[in-house]
Amino acid sequence: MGSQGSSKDFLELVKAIGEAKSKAEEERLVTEEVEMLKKKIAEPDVPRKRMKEYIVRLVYVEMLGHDASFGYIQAVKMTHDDNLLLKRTGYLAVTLFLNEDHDLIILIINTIQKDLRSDNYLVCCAALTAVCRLINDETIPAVLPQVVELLGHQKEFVRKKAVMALHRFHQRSPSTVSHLIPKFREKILRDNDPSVMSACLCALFDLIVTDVHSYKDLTSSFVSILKQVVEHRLPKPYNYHSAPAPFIQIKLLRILALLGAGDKKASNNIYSVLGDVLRKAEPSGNIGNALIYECISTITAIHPNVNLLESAATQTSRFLKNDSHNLKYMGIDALGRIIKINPDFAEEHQLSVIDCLEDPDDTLKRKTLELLYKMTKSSNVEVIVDRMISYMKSLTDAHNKTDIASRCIELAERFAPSNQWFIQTMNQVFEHAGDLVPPKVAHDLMRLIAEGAGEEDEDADSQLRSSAVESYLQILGEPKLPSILLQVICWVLGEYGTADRTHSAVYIIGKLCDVAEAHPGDDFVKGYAISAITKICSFEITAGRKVHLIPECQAFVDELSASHSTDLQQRAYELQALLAFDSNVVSTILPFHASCEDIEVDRSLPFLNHYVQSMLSKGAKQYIPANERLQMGVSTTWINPQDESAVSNHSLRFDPYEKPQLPTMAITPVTTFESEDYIIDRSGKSSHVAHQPPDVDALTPEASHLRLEGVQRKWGRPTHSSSSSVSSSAGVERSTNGSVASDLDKSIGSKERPVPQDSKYVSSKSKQPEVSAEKQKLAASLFGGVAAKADLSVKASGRSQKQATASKHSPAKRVQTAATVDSKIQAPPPPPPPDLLDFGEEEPSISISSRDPMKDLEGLLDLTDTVAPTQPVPVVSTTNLSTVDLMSLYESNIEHGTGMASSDNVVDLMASTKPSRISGDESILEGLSGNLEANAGSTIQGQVATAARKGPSLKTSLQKHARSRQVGVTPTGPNPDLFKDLWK
Amino acid sequence: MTIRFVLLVNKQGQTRLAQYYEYLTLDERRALEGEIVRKCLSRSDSQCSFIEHRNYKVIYRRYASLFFLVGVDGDENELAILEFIHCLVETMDRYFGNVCELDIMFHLEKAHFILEEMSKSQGYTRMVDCSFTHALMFEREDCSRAMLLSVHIWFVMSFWIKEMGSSTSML
Repeated sequence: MGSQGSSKDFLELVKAIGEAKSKAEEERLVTEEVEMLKKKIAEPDVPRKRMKEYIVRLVYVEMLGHDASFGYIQAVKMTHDDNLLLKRTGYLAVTLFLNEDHDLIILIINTIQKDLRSDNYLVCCAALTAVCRLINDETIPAVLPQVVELLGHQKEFVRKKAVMALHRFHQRSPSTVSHLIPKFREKILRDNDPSVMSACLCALFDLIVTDVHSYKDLTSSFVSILKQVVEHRLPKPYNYHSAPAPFIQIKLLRILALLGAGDKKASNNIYSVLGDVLRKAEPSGNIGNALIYECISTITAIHPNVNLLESAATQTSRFLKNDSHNLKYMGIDALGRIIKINPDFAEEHQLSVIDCLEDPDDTLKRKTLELLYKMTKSSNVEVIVDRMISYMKSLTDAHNKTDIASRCIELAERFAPSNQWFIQTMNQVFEHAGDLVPPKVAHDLMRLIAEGAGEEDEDADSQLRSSAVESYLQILGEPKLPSILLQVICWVLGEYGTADRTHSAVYIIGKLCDVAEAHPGDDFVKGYAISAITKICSFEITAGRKVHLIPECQAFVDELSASHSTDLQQRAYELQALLAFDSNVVSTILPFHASCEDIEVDRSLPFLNHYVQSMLSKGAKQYIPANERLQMGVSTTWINPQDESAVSNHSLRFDPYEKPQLPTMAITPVTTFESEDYIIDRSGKSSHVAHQPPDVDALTPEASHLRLEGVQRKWGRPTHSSSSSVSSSAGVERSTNGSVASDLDKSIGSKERPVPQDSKYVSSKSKQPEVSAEKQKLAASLFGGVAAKADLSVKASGRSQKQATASKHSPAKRVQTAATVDSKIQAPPPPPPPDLLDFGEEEPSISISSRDPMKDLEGLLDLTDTVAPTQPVPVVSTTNLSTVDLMSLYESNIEHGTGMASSDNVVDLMASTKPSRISGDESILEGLSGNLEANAGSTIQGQVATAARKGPSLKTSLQKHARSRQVGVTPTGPNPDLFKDLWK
Repeated sequence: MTIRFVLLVNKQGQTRLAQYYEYLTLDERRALEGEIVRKCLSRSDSQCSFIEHRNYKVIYRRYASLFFLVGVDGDENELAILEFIHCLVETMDRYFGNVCELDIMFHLEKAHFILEEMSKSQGYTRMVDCSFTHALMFEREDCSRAMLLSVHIWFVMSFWIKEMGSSTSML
C-alpha cells in the first residue's frame, strides 16, 4: 500500500501510536510529537508536501486529545496551495481544528471566494465542502452570491455541494437564503441528477418540518419520485445491496410522513406508494428492514389506512419475534408508534415486550421502558413506575437517571391512584435520584402534603400527613440521603411532626437535630432543620406546654448562632427570641398549618409613604424607577440594542477594496478632519456612524476608517459573546460529568447493585413454568391481557415473589389490584381516551391537581414567607460545587480502566493468534526497514533512542508491527473478512 | 435529526479517526470518547448495536479490531445508520483494498475525505452519495471498465488517480 509518499518520521509516528499499548504510552508519544512539531513547523522554507504531512500529524495530535493550536495557521496557509490534494488537506485540517466562530476563519474567506470561482470543478467542490463547515452567520453574505451561482454549474457534483452549502446556510441563518426557497421547490428538486435531487430533499425536509402547509402541493411530486426510485429508475450506482437508493427512499418516506400527518387528502395519495415500498423491501437484510421500519413510522404518522396498518402490524410482530436485538429494538419502537393508533395491538405482544424488559441488554430495556411510559394509564401505573424505579436504582449515569426520574415523576403526577402511593413513590425517587430532581418537584410534594387532596375532607388530609410523617421517620434511618429529600423531610416534620400527637415534640426535635448533625456541610438542610424546630416549639407554646430545649438541640442552636451564614444565625436567634414570648404572640407569629394560606403583599408599600414624604420634605431626591433611569441614559447598557441593529445593517464586507486613488492635496485636510469627526462620533453615539451610507465612503480613501468600524465589531462583540457561550456550555458539561462520576463512585462503592436483579433473572429462567405464570401476571398488570385465565392465587403468590423489591405495598393490596385488573379483563377494557396516549413533552399534570405555574410560584412565596428557606438557585449551585472536584477522580478512572483493558486485550490477542500470513503490506515493511537501514547511519541520536525504546532492535520492532497488524486487522483470505459479522 | 460525529476506535479504546460536526472542546471530546468507548466495549455481540449516551444515540458496528461509531441526535432510523456504517466500510475497503486499521492510520486524510463525501459532508444529511462511492471504488479496479459505465465517474476517478500518483511520488 502506498505509504511510500510519507516520510520516515511519519511512518515511525503512526507505527508507534499503533503499537502503543496504553493510554499513558500514547500520551507520552504525542507529547513528544507536539514538541517536535512546534520546532519543525517554525522552520523556514518547509517544502509544501512536507508541510502537508506536518498538518496530518497535527490532526493526529488533536485527535488524540492534545492541543495543536500552534499549528492552526499552517493549516490555514495550506488552503492557499495550488495543488488540489494539498488544498483539500488544508481545508480538512481547518474544518477539523476550527469552529465557525474562530478568529482565523476570516483569513480563509478570501481563499474560499477564489476557489469558488475556479475553473476546476474539484477545486469548487473542495471549497464548497469547507463552506459547509466554516461559514458562520456573519460570513454568509461573503460567499452566498457565488454559491448561488454554482447552483447552475454543469457538473452535478458542484450543484449538489452548492445545495448542501445553502442548506447549511439555512440552518445557520434562515433569513439569508429565504429568497431561494422557490428555486429549491421548482428547479432543484427537478434536477436531472439524482444526487442533486437528494441533497435538495434534505433541505426541503428541514423546511417542511418548520412549515408543513406551504409544501402540501409538492406531495404528488415526492410520491412520484419515490415511485420511480422503487421501480429502479435511478442509475445502478445508487443501489445498495440491491435495494434501490434506500437512503433516498428513507428521506422521502420521512417527508411524506410530515406531509400526510393529519391530512386525509394528502394521505390518500401516499398509500399506494407506501404499499409498494413495503412490498419491495427485502426483509432479509438490514437495509430492507430499515426501509420497512421507516414505512411503519410513516404509516403510523399519516391518516390511518386499515390495510397498511395491518401490514405494519405484521412487520412489527416480525421484528419483535426476531432473535436479533437490533430488530427487537426497532420492533419496540414501532410498537410504540402503532399503539398510538390502536392501543389493543400491544396485547398480542405483551410477552415479547416483557422479555425485552427483562433482557440484560440495557439499551433494549430502556427502550422498552420508554414504550411502557407511552402506554401508561391509571390501571397499570403502579407496576410501570415500580419497574422504572427499580431500573433507576441500577443506573449509574446521571443523564439517564435524570431522564427516568423525571418520567417517574410525570407518570406519578398524572396517574397516581392515591396520594399515599404518590408520596411513597416520590420518596423513592428522591431517595435514589435526589440530587437530579428539579427542586420544583420537591416543592410540589410539600405542597401536596400541606394542601391534601384539595377536597374538604380534613380527616383524609390529616391521615395523609401523618402517614407522610411516619414514612419520613422511617426513611431517616437510611445512611445517605440526598439534600433535597432531607429538606422535604425537615419541612414535613416541622409542620406536621407533632400534629397527630403520636410523637412527642422532644422526639421530633431530637430527630431533626440528628439530621442537622449528620450533614454539617449542608446549610440548606440546617436551615430547614432549625426552622422546623422553631415551628415545633411554637406549636408547643401555643398549646400551652412549657418548652425545654433538650441539650443537643441547645448545642445546635448555639452552634448556629455563631454560624458564618447570616441566614442560619438569624433563624437561630429567632428561635431563641420566640421561646421568650407567651402563647398569644407565638400563635400569631407561627400559626399551625398555615403554609397554604396566601399572604398578600402590597407592592406599593403604602406604610412607607409617610417616611418618604418626610424625607422629601427634608430635600431628598425623588425616586426614579429603573426603566426611566435607562431612558435618561444614566447607564451605558442602553447602547446595546441600537448597536446590535447597527451590526445587522453593517456586516463585514468581503469584497476587495478598490484601488486606492492617490489623494490630491485638496482632499487631505478634509480627510483628517473627517476622521477626527468620526472618532468623536464613536465615543458619543455610535448609531450616527452606523447609519452613514457605506458606498459613499467606499469611493474615498477614508474608506479604511469606516471598515475599521466594521472590524471593531467583528473582533469586539461577537468574539466576546462566543467565548462566553463556550465557557458556559463547558460548565454545564463539566457538571454533568461530575455527577456521573459521583454516581459511578457510589455504584463502585456498593458493588451489590446488579446482583439481586441478575440472580432473580437467572433463577426465574431456571424454573420455566413458574416464569411464564409470573410473566403472564406481569403482562396482565401491564396490558390487561392474556393472563385472564391464570387463576388468582397463583398470581398472588407469583406476584409477591416477583415484587420482592417493591415490598412497600402490602400484599393484600396487591391481590386487590390484581383482582381489579382481572375483572377488567373479563369485560374487555374500553380503549382509553386518546389523550392519554398523546404524550406531548410537557403536559400539565392532569389527575392529582391541575396546577398552574403561577400558583406554584405563589406556593413558593408562601413557604418562604412563613418559614421554609426555599431557594432553588443556591441548591443547584451547591450541587455543582460538590460535583466539580469529582471530575479529576473520574478522569483518572478512565485512564486506568482503558489502560488495563487494553493491555489485557493485547496479551489475549498475542496468545490466541499466530501470524499465518504476511499480507501485501509486507512490501511496506520491507521498504520501511530498508529505509531505516539506509538512514540508520545518519540518524540523529534522538531517533535511535526512540527505536531502542520500542524494542531491542529495529528488526524485532518491525516484526512486532507485522504481527500486530496481522493479529489486529488483516483479513486472512483474498476477500476481506471484515464483513463476516454481516453475513453470519 | 442528524449525524453529530463519526468515530473510529480500536479495541484498546484508541481513537483512530474522529470527525465532529458540532464544535466540542478537546476536553469534551476526550471525555465523550472515553465514556462511549467504554460503554461499547462492555457490550456483547448479541446485544443491540445502539446505545444511548447523554443526548446522543450512538450506533456502532465492529469490524475486526475497529469500532465504527456514529453519534446521532433526535429520532433517526438506527438500522439505516447501521447500514451507512457498512457502506462506509465497503467504500474504504474498495478504496484501500482490504482496508485495515493501519491503512486508515497511514492515510488519515484520505479516510477523512471519504467520510466527508459520504456523510454528504457535515453530517446534516446522511444520504450516501453512491456515485462517489463508486468513483472511489473503480479507482482501484480496471479503468476501462469504469469508463464504459459512466463518464463523470471516470472523470473523478482519473483525477483521483492522478492526485494519488503525484502524492505518492513525493519523496
